[in-house]
Amino acid sequence: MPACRQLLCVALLLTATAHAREIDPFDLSLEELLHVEIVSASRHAQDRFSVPSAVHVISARDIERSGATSLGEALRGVPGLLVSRTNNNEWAISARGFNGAFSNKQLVLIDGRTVYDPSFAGVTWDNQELLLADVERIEVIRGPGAALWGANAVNGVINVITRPAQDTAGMAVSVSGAHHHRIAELRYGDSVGDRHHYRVFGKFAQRDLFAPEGFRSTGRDNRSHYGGFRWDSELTERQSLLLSGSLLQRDLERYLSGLDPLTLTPEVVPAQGDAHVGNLLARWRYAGDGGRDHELQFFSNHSDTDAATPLSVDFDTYRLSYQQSHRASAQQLLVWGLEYQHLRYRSEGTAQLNFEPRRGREDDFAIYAHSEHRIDALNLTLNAGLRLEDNTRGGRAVQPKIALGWAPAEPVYLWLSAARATRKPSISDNSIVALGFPVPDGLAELSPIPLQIPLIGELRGQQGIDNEVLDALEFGVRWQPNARWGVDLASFYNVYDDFILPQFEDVRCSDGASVFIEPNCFLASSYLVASSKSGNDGQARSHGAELALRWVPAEALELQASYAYLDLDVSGSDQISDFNGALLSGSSPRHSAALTWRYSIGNRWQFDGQVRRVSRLSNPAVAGYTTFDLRLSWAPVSRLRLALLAQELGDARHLELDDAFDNVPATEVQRSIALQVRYEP
Amino acid sequence: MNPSRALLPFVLALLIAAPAWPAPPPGADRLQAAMIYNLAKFVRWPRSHRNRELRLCLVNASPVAEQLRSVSGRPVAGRRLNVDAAAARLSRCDVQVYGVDAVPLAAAERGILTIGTNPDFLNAGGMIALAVVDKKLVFDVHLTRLREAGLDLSAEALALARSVHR
Repeated sequence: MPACRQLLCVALLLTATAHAREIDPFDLSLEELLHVEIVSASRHAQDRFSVPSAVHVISARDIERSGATSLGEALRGVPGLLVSRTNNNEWAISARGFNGAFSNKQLVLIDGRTVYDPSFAGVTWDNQELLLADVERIEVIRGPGAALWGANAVNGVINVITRPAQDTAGMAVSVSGAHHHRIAELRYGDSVGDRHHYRVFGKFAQRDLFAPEGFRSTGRDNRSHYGGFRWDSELTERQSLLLSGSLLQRDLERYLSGLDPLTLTPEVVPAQGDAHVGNLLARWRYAGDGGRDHELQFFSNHSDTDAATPLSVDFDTYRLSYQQSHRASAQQLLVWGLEYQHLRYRSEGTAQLNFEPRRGREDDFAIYAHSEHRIDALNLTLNAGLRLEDNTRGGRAVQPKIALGWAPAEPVYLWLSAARATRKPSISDNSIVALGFPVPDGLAELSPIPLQIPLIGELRGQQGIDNEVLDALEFGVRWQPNARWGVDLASFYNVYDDFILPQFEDVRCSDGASVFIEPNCFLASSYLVASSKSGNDGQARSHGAELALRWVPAEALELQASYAYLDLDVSGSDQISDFNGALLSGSSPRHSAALTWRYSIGNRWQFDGQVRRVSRLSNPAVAGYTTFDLRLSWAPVSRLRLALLAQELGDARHLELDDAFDNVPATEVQRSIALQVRYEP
Repeated sequence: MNPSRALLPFVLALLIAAPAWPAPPPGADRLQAAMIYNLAKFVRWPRSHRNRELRLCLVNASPVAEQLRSVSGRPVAGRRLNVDAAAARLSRCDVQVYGVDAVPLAAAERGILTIGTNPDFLNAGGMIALAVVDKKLVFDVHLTRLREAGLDLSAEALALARSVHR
């Protein structure tokens, strides 16, 4: 069924909205075109505009014209999505706050496959290599999507959809060279008979490490080799099969901060590591009678990472899912599905940083249903969804969502939604053992005496902690007076409960060899240990609004502006959890804005750019910054395009995030100029 | 302060500042162009043509040509679309698009699809005719002629046609 080609039919319906701001008949299917009324903006297109959630779609054209060579670059400029570059190849990305290397409230899917690192319940962005030229679109949904996608789709969902193999025939070559990176991509696509299409691809990327202040870049050892395939078959008129897979091998280096074992003073040292990441996906679809579509999907992810830290984790994920969508009538859609996931992990660490237990298995089950009902007479749509999960970590979770959409007049759409989403505890939350990390200055007062001896930290995970729960209320307005103007405003109010934070346990004394507690221990000990453990004592609230504008003043010029306001407050029940909460709320900017333009000069020249302004972060303090990218591109012949890309043109260097939770020193982003060449048949 | 309230003046200012553009909803030309582009995806082309670009030529169809040119370079069933508004040699095209005043002069050539908007297009030797009925687009197919030229149209598209001449 053409209207439902994506992993989740509903996902498509939800996300199609973002296209609404740029409804183009060329985006419609043959069947849809036949229903368009010629005299006014199309009814059907209006329907796509009318989806009750905050969505933004990055099109293939947006990606091409951003000059992006990594997902992080492609995701910049989306309203309400915080994208911070923490090194040349390292990113922290999260919707509606909580940004950091270990952001854990967001779900990222690539062709329906979750790219999830269970060790911290987030995404290792530098392990997500892709050929961006073969990406059809990226859908970014802010707000809870857990009723459909499950635990961890708390603050947002990022859905990367690559082109079907029939759209990538022939040999394409891309090269991007800059003083900070060297990237080459190769793709070949062909067909076998009428019904089978495939592509194979490879990518080499070398991205130099940006060194923290006071250090020199250690060289060019950040290399990745990436390759894969995608196979699309139309087995019969009604059945299709998708097979895809990829392998990534990385050599990486980074600077790590820790404690000098002898002096117990903070130090920064270079370290090397490597990663092997692979995945395989198979999806079978069957368009049945009576508007019933069936989909069976299996995928596996393997990751074997020694991220240059003392703790390395290998994991394998296998997921099997079935989904049925039934369009009973134009007004009524029902989608339901079942999922089973098995996960295995093994870790290897040191006495200072480890998981306890070191290995584990998890089995997670989920069942969900979603219904969509349209009342044409009142211009109303009512969506309701429920997902039930039983997970090894966190136990049972009930995740409902209800949403109402109303179109009072043709170009205006209002929506309101209420949802509950959960984040299940990560392996870290349950099992981390971290000893001897530097205690931040703000916690010196934990010491019962003026600090004559060093204070070091200790964190232990706790088994049996509960799911983190979000209750969210969202409201939005879209207004599209004509094809040249579009306004999209979304606002939200979030309340998090059972928020997982480290809690204070005690302060103990140590003589270096053993930890002991006795009244006068401070005399005998050589340092103090401030000990904490994971718990559910935290509370968080946030509210904010995101505005996106699109204006096409002339055929050759398109402008997109975005602004996001965020007010986030995380608090704990004691000094340690309060302190950690303050670090989480302090690392999100209150204001962020971006302006993107795409200017075509004839068919051959393009002049594009993006200006970004992010307000200051309070804790750890990072100054606000303004930076911009420029791209000038020229196509001497139709198949060849050259581009000159200058990135981060604000200050010579600026800091985007100082992550208090990772063991990587804050590193400034540097200016970069790249020459890019792309040949596509 | 409530953020949505804080934003309200900003949004209102933008709305007021928005100049009154000569509101262009997707026009009939663009819809027709999208239809032609979409139909081309459902055509089964001769095997020998499949690996080269899809050349689309236009005959007296300038408003539609403008619209089609904006998607030149896009993939169509694995082939790159090349829109040529002023084709010197029509026989080198894969798709010939005729304006409302034009019909094919010669008999159907092998491997070439003809699409037109003339009300008498199918009788005049064309393969797919586009028309507007009750403010909506419809299309009619002359399947026999299409097959004679070594082409075929998928069942999915045929099911959506208003009429199919066999």
